[in-house]
Amino acid sequence: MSDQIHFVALLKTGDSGAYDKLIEDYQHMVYNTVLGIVNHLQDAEDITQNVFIQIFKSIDDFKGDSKLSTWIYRIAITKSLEWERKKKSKKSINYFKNLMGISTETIEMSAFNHPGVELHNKEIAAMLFKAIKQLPENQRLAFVLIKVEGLNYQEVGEIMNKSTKSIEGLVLRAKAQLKLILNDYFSE
Amino acid sequence: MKTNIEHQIELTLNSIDAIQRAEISPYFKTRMKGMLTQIQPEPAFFSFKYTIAIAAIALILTANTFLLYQQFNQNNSAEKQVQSNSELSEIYHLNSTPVLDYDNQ
Repeated sequence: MSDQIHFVALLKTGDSGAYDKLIEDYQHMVYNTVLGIVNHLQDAEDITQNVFIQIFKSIDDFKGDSKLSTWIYRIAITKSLEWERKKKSKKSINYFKNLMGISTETIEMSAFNHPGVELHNKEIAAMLFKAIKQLPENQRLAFVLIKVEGLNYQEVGEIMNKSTKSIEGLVLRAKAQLKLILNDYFSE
Repeated sequence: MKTNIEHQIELTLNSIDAIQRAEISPYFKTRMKGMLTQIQPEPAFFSFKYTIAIAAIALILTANTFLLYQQFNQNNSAEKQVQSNSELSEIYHLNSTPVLDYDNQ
């Protein structure tokens, strides 16, 4: 913990070496969390950039009440959800433009292939990611952080400001919901 | 048929169990470092913005107070002027009927 205090103090002074270390240590964590939420490789990289810019801008707001990684996870999640909302509203505008014949821009509906999934599982994993997208936000976040990011219930609870029990509940409900969604896919 | 679907669902749910971490571009760190050197930390920027905003508000309020005070002073002196005029006219009977009013005599 004292290492973290010292490291954060260095970040607050704008020490370039500390920022190098921050990027080195957290780039994969941020990128994978974002990727698990937005399911798009290029977007995930752009959002990861935004996350580090936000960390740089608001490091003075970090009071040390939680672990630095927890704070960074929260920024990554917030930025990813903001990005999704912007993209969703852009999609709706494009959809209406297409209907009105104003725009010929195509609406992107490609399946997501996570680069970390084994080759023989690519197809069904893409189906799972598509189903995960349909979950309510809290269930989706809890499920992604546990199954994709590999965090435990307590860590996810700290990130989402919820008790371990409620995270367990969210993941259980997410699994049940996913079974229903997948059942519909396979029954078609 | 039902068991086949259930089996497929189980396989799908377990498909990301052995998921590996995705690798970010190897140039990300270099790009990020370049970006961060061009950005100013937010608190300094915010405090600068707030200083300007507060100074502008203070200036507007001061100007308003000054104008109101001037207006108030002008009204007061005008009232005093009217009052002193009527006092003078009372002393010198300026409002009374003129002595040489031939029409009414």
